[in-house]
Amino acid sequence: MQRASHQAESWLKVTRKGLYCVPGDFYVDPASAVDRALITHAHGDHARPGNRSVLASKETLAFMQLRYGKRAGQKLVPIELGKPLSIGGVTVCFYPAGHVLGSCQILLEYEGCRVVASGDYKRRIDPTSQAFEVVPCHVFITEATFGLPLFEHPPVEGEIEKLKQVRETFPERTLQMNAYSLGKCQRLIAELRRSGIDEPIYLNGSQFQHSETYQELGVDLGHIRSLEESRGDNLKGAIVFAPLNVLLEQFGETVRDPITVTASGWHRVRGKSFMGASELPLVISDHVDWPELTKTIEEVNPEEVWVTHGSEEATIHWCQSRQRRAKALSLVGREGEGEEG
Amino acid sequence: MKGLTFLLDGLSNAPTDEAKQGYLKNFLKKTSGADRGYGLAIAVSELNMPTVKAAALKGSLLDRLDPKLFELSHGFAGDLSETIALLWPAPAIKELRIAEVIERLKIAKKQDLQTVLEDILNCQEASERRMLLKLMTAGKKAFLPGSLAKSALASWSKVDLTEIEEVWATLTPPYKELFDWLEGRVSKPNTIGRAIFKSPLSTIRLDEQGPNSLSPEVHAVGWSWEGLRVQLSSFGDEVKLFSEIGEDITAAFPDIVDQADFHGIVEGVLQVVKDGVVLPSEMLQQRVGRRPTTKKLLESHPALFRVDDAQNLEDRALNGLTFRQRREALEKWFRPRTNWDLSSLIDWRTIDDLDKLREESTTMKGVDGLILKRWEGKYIKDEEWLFWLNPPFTTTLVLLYGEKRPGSSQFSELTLGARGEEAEGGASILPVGKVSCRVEADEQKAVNQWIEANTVERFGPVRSVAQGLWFEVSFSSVQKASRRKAGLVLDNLEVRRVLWEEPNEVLVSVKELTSLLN
Ligand SMILES: [Zn+2]
Repeated sequence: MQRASHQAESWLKVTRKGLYCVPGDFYVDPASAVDRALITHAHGDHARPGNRSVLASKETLAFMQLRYGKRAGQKLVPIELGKPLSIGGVTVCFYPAGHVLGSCQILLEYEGCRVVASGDYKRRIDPTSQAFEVVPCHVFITEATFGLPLFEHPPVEGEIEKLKQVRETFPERTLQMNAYSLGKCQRLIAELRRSGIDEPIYLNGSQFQHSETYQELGVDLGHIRSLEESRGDNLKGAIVFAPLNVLLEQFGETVRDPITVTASGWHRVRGKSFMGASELPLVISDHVDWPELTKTIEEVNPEEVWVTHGSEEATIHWCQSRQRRAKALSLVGREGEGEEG
Repeated sequence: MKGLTFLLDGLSNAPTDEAKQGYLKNFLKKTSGADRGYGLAIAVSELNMPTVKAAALKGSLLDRLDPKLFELSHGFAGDLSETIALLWPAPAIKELRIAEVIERLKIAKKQDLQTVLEDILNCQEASERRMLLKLMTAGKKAFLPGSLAKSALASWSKVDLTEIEEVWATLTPPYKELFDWLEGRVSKPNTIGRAIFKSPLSTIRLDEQGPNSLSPEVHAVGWSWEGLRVQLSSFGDEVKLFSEIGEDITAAFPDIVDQADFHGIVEGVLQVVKDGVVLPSEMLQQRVGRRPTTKKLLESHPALFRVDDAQNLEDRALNGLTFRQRREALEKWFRPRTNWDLSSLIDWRTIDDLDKLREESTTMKGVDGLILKRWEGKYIKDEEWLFWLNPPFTTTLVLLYGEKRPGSSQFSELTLGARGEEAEGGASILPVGKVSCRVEADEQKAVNQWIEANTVERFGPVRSVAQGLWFEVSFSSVQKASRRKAGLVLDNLEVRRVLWEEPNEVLVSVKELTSLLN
């Protein structure tokens, strides 16, 4: 009898435009515009503009509209999580991935073979995102951004504690926060709130817009203010999400020597963390670290693992040394765009 | 150890000296006892940690980790000690005190050291493991210059900086007597029979027009020697050589220190002088940077100590005496030693004389102007020495390389270039000097970003960049440097301004600079 995972290769193809499902005639996270796209989440390297019909969670669609306006897609189809639907004989079902608000894994089932395209995901508790769900399958398609045993994200509470200590050391210095406007930014705000910081937090353009959308979608971020509309405010000691030059150009009167803060899983390794020249590099990531990656593979327990962007080699080696089939899936356009880890 | 990682990370990443001092003051406030003392010692690189080889730990890590996963991780991180630190499985994480860790490592016998270290690593978080292994494998490194640490101590304790400077060199980690004194539990540590550093007088630089109300009755005049102002302190059996800011540079200058057959504190300027010729300040920097020094360097870069004042001679404090009295005592006491010279005073009557002297000094190697001291000035706080320096040359140079100092995130060391020979396809740009970029923090940040964005090649901490950033600089003279492509090097190079746009005038040529060689 044929392995179910082997069979998957016959109907799920890697093409120039991305992962293509033959019987369903649709793409998952296509790299360029297609007729029908299923989108895991709204980050720029997964959700591109110009598709004709787009199937995604309602949050993902909201972010795509915010970013691309009319170019988000001609037909936007919100998908309810956990509710299967059929496309050309393929059963499709979306499950939460825990990466950012609205991020999903997509289960594709065809002739008894189950494939999960997990997109980007994480396992840590995140107040701004629905928790990852383990979906049993034959083939698990996983990212491996931090697919090396070096990468182990410390508890987020400890990282936030560092930030609070730096603040206590320099109560007058503004915290200049650098964080990707979808996901990382809101997660940091939520973690700051959880740690007891309830003062207004200032946000620049796109970070403010995305955070407002989060609030509209029911995620409480507390008192956030648009930096543009706060010209007269004294930002001494405040927490501000904005590029350094914007902050210095517009608030140079009250902001002196801001503390630059960055948050990324890459900061775990020192050589890399110095590149951004930030004063406070926090090891906080929206992706799984190595222990979570390997734990997830064990829990999902697929016959075969297909590894996309990141350190595929170590992940594949790890699977194979545990008698699990694994291979690299080189998808185009999946590296480094927009997201920071 | 958490407090120590927080301190060292802060010191490594802080953009300004003020912020670095803030991290240290926070640490002083939050820790106590030997933890605090050892932490301070590590920050200023005064603690001798036992050393290990990272490779030795690799074996014991590989007992527990797939070798292929190790190699892939090492390939990614690049650094062996960091790779081991991050991969080290720590089954029993708990907070260890700084002093406990240091003392366990210090008393361990050589053959037990690795086991003791492994036990400690087993209890530490990744960032602590990385820090500890770096301290034990990478050689000593200062996270904060001693002078900044001392002034942070002064501002934290409200004790006068000069008093802290005085006792500093007599203390050893974990500085129990220092903290007992700073916190008011005991009186100032006894320094009898110890080589102490006593703050030098402050100096003022006269503007280029020079002095207007000077008279030979009031002011003594001497040559201002280009070089490093130092203090040689000798008491009991101890002799130490300090820089102007109290940094202990004894180990770099045995040729000077070994001649100290007296008790007291004498001051002057160090230069590198060979066959009577003062060599470029760059060579002096090489001497200062090499501690302990090498025999080869002693021969190729011989130092000369030009003595010009004293705070103490043969156990007699001179601070209460006027310069006239000190000079008399100094001349009476001084006898020529190898590599020592008494800096002479110059006769003068009118301001015109001074003007001529200064003019003359522009043609003298190793002299950058005149120094003026009040005949009646005592060696006490608030007395000032005046410098009337030659106007420096100014020009514009283009950036060739940016370099980070060890432990710094800033590209602060810049190599600048001038136009070489015209050739087909345009002139080449040749390096003519290296400069520490001392500009405002925001501008430094912009320089960093520019270098990141315009990097052509990386060589470790050095980046070569595309041409496109110019610096208005000043320099005191042009020196021959036969080993360099340009054949010259600009001395005492300083950045005056960063030019973000291409200047209108053509870049200065090596030929033009060569014409300034004296
Ligand atoms: Zn993503």
